[in-house]
Amino acid sequence: MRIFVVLLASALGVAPVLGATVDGRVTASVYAFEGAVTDSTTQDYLRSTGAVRLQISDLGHPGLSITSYSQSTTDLSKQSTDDPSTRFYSLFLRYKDSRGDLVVGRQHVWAGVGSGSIDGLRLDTKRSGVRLTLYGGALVPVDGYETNSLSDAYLWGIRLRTERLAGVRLSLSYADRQRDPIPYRNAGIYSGFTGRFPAIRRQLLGAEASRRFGPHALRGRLDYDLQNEELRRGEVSGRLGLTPTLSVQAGWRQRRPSVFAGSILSVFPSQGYDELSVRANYALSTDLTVSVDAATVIYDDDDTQRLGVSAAIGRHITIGLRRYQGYAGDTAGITGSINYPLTSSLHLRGSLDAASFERFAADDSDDLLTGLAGLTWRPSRTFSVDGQLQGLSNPAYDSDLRMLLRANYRFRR
Amino acid sequence: MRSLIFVVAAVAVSAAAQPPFPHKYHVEEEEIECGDCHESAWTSTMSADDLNPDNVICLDCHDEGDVRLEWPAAEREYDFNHMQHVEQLDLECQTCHQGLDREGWRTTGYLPAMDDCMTCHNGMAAPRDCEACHNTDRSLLQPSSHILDWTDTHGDEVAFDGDASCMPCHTVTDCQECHDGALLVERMALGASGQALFTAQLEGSGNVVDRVHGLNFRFLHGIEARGKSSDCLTCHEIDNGDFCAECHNPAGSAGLRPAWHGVGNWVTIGVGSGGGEHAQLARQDIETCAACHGGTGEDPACLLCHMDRTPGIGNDPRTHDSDFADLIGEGDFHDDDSAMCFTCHTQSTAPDQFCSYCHEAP
Repeated sequence: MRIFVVLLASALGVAPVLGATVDGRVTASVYAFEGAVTDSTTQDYLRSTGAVRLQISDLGHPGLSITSYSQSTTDLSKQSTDDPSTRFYSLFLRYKDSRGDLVVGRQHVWAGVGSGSIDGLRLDTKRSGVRLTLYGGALVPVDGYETNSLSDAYLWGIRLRTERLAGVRLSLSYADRQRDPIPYRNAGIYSGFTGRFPAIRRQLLGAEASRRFGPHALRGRLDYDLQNEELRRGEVSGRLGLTPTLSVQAGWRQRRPSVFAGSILSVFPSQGYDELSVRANYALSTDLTVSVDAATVIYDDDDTQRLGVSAAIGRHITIGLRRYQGYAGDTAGITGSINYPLTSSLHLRGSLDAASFERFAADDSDDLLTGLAGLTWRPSRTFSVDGQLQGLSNPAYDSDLRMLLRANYRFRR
Repeated sequence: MRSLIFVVAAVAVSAAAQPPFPHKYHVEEEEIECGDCHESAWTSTMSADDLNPDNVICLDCHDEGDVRLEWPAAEREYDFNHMQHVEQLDLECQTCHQGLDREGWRTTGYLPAMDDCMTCHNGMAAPRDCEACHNTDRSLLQPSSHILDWTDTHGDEVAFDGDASCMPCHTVTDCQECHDGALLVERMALGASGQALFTAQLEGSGNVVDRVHGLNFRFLHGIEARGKSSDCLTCHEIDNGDFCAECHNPAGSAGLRPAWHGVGNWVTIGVGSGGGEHAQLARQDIETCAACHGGTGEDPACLLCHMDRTPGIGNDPRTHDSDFADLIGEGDFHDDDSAMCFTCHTQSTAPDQFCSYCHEAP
């Protein structure tokens, strides 16, 4: 990782000499809020966050570039032991030409059954209508900011995609992912075990297919667990465009729980769940669109239901109702949001959510209220400032007022 | 016949609405250059500029009364600097206005589509930020499909259409802001007091409040997780339970033990009892168990009872499915003394009896 940080710094230094282009965004924000340490004690925070996105292009070759996206955060009022913390979400060198796309460094991969952030390489190339993606590397640590070694955690895989089979968008993928669990710090209180469990590993094979038929569409997905020799996930869904203003969608999904080989919980018998869902979108007029969705999730010996109704009024206002009931717990809520341009450079943003909820296996309900109101000022196309007040009410806080200030600057040199 | 009449009528109405101007004739037959008529394009810096030719130019060749001289100017919602593209970058008009020289009538069909712009505005040859061309706030540029509960539904859209339709406006960085657990930086710093924070996102998501989960999500996330409104695993690595255990660690805070643990027939003991409610819950939704008991680095609470204390007798709580032995096959426990199996099947009791589950005694 350090090599890439040095590379990024060097590229920034030599960019003017090479005639390279530097495209970037810098965002800085300050957020004041009250955090609940326990259910009865709170603590005030004043956190600042900086985010930088950089892309240095044309590094001596039109297809050669470096991309970086990082965040750094600290607490201005009470320093925690982890502050300041900085994380590079992506930092990679990329070479792209007519033959393909090669990316080396920290990057996020989405490739069918394989997904995750890796420190490694990815190759994309297309031949005879078939697109090949090949990737591999060390998984980026979840709880740290350094680099994993390949022996601690890795992800590699392959994906093939084509649309040459009768217009069907077809994807086949394979992924092998492994992460070492945290070793025992002390001997197990029940087992006396010391050391570490074996690596948590999954090897998945996936197939996806989708096809459009004018306004209609059909898709399916299967993920197969090669280690447990079972179907891990199956999905089928379809959409009917009944009229230009009315569409209906229905789907079925089956999924096994996400407990993979190497976790102690993987040795217990467990069942997956099935989900049936429907959704309809109807544009009653150019200024009013309504969406209704319903789903039932069927567990081994229980079930839960979801119901939602939402409406977009013009392009600036949305309102919605949401309801859960059954095994998941009960909740009913109403939401509303506005994003309204007061002038060409001043925007009003806000939302108000109210909900009542009853936890799993609880007998009484609690209320939640969330309100936000803010303004975004864009004096130019390269600079904007956001200010926002947030108010919360929940079982931990009778009232909690928060404030955010954020500045955003875009540049190209 | 009726259809033919309809088509003729439609063409007539269309032609009346759009003043006829045969670009093809002027360009091909008369060999007139674009700049001969649209000379203001070379000095125009705003898309709102009316670049239609001045009447006087038409009258160089046409008699007054022979031609229509009033052309309605199109409304523009974005910035475009013709001078920069034509004069400084030396681009040909046809580079963007493809098909212009084949256009029989004056229509908007030869105006460049956004995909044409993105050929160069790819972040390398030219900036790809929305603000580079659009003078409207990015959140107001989003398609109508993004306005409703887009956070929940965009996965389906990508699955139906692939990611090609996302790329004109979004980069992978935009996806990462939510899908890479971008909140992790804050969560790790704040520990168990973690809030659904308003993070310093790059105006990328276009959300009104620029965050993935609501500020009171802490109180609803259990319901949403069991209700499967979205798949937590999409963004959070919960394979081994460590993500949930950051807050739901029973060893770290006994106060987090749910009140419904231990009531009624939570645990039933005895062969054929089925184990009680906890066993049923584990079978139907072991992810909920894993949220607290799946953290690594210590014994899970399950081991309190699920230990193979008297191997071979089979009177300890049932732990595995009946086909478990077939599934694990030649497992690592054969040659690795630190294999996970030995946390329950403790070697100190009777290793030979553990082996006897599958192997007959010699």
